[in-house]
Amino acid sequence: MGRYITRRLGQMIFVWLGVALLVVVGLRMTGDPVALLLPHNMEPDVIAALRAEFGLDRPLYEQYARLVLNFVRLDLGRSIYYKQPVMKLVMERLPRSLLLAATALAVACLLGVPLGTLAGYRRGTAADVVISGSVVAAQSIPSFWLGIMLILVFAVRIPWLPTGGSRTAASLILPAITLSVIPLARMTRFLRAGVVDVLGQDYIRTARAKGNTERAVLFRHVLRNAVRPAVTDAAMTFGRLIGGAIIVETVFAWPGVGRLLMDAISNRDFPVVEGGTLVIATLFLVINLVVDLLYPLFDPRIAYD
Amino acid sequence: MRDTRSVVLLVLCVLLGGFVFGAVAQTRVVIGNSASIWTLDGSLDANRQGASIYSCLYDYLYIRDMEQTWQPALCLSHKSVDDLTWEFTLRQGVRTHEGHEFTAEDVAFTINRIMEVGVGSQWRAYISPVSKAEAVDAHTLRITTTTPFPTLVDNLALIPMLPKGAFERAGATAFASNPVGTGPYKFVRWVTGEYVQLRANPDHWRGSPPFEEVEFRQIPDDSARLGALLSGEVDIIVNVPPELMGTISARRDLRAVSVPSIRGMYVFFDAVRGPFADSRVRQAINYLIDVDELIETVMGGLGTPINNMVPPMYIGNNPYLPASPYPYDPTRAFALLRAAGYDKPFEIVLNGPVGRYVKDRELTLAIAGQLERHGFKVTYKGQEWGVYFRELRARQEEKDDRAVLYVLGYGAPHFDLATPYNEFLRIGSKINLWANGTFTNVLDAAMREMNPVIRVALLNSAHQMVVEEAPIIFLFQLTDNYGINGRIDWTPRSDEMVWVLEMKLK
Repeated sequence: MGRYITRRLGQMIFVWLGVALLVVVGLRMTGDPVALLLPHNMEPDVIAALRAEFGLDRPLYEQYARLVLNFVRLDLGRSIYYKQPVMKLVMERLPRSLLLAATALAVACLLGVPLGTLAGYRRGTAADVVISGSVVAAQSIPSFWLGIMLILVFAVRIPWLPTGGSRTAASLILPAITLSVIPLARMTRFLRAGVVDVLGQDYIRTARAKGNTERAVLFRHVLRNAVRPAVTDAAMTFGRLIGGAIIVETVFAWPGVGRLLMDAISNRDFPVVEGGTLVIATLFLVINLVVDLLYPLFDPRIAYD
Repeated sequence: MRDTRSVVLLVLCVLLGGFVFGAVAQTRVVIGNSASIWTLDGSLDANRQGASIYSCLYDYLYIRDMEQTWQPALCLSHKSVDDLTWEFTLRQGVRTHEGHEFTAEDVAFTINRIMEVGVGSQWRAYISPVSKAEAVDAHTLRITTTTPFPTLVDNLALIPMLPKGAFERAGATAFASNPVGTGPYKFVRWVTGEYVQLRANPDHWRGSPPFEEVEFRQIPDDSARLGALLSGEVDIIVNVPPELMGTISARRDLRAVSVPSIRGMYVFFDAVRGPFADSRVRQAINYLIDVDELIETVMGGLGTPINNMVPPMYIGNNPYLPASPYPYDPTRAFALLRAAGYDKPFEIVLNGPVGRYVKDRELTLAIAGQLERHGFKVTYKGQEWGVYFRELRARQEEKDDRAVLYVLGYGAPHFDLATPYNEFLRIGSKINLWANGTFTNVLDAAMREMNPVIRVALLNSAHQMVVEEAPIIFLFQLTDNYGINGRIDWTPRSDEMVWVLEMKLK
């Protein structure tokens, strides 16, 4: 176990350094942020002073090394645009992103597991056709359209919920539903495929032959085995939703980290793009590791000794 | 019996709740902005949607009224001592939100800080000739400039003034997210990316402001912003796309209001090289663009043709020039092209920003369509603003002879023609793509001239050169579109500032 964790941590650091390198090089290929931030008729000495302040006049390898070392010290630098510490900006937004992503994922799991199980267990029946058809339809709905429709129906026509913002618990409902659609569809499909696969296994026949009730077969043998791939996928989806909910965050004016990053990209706010991306990448890697370590709980055959 | 009592209690609660809620709602106004703000330190940010917030938190030296003429605010009067020195007499009895007296020291501090290189204030470009600001006494301010600067007051009056003491006690970073000003509203809360909340300052020198509470929400999505207005969550929304105005006007309790904007749209020729170096070709292209059709089809009829980069409200605009100098006239266009040696239409690269101006992508594509209608082979290149502007700046250095066009817009609240000309058309500007020495000399003379009459005359003749030489395709003045809840009595201004002090409840 210890050796496994050490090896995985080593891999994580390697991947993380690669992400940091991509971020630094990729960003610098899009132009000089200071020249774009300031009015175009600004004097060269002002531009030079700001470039020096943000270390943009230093060689690329030095900027990379500084980014990595500062990250280790939890110092993400200062935003060029907001003129505030990046750590403060990211940490203000991150809890809201985590809340939105977790709620959307919870909705996806609560609905996706029973729906997928039902569709798989009753494969080929009307229930399966309806569920599988709805899943394909749901996956094809663009989230900006769904978001606007939900606003029009549940905030304008029937004014039950706020149109946007993050101030009340009610503000969470519409964005979480919108964001949950894609993971819900994925979860349903994974579960359905898993259930169909497991139902054909020999041990299910054995379980039935031993006289277990259908209920016991389904919950103790089928679901436990069918849910494994869905768990991995859900964890990855959670990582993606943290930084990738940009459209939902924009439509619902939800001040999450995705919109912070998006604004930072259009403003050429290098420190925020770098810091924000690295925080999300770190979270993603940690979630990945945690899920892998928890895997023996779902599958006793896997052990890391 | 118990049931009856419960029902009566419930009804009372509902009524009382409604009453209390109604009372609170009446003294509050919520404004739905589209752009994000990045600081509450008004001396750094020149963004117009920011100005709506800063005009609540801070005061200005002067402020424009509805007719766009300057009215005294922090400053009562000013005089130019000589070509390089100005003196301002400030209002007495102005207090900061912390209760300290606001003096000439504070104004001098704000200006000198803007002029510091490392601060990176966007206002610096507006007042770049300023060399020093100093307090002569508590209520007299002296400003010296390095060169004659006839538009000092017009530019300076746009800048919010900060209290020195509060700024220094907090430090720049803390001040930017927890500001102290002298304005009609005090800061309460800012959740970045979501809202800014302000509370009335009853001790303001103008007296109590019209609403107890003001909130600026940031709702970037156009439809969601409209949804917030329709549901009554916000009272005013800005930047309504033309096609959504009908939805607002269809509701009896809402108003859709369009006002002429300070922004003009135009297309910049690369007039340094290639076919567009010849003024006849540039005039011909102007004759080929049907501006009325663009306004009708792209802008939903909201816009007015202009004969300049900017609308006619700018100081120096020549009123004697024809409003549409190049009406749609393909026959004349092709005659001019033949005279310039182009018997056949040629290839044109048309660059346009995406997401910078209202309908910018649609506008660029419509222009491409109009040129292609006459046989030109147009390559459309739409780009995100940052990349787009970088390429525009880099165009000066390129050597190829292609016919290149850039769609642009310009608007600035100082309403002075010298500034857009200086930034875009003067030889030596970082973006200029038109080599006209006479124009540059006339503009330079105007920028040094302290006599306002002569200055306007010089700018008038610069404007005439622009119309005759056509370094741009003249398009139209935009409109600013607002959606307003019927309970608010407010007429939007032309300078994009949503000024809460001009609103009241109906």
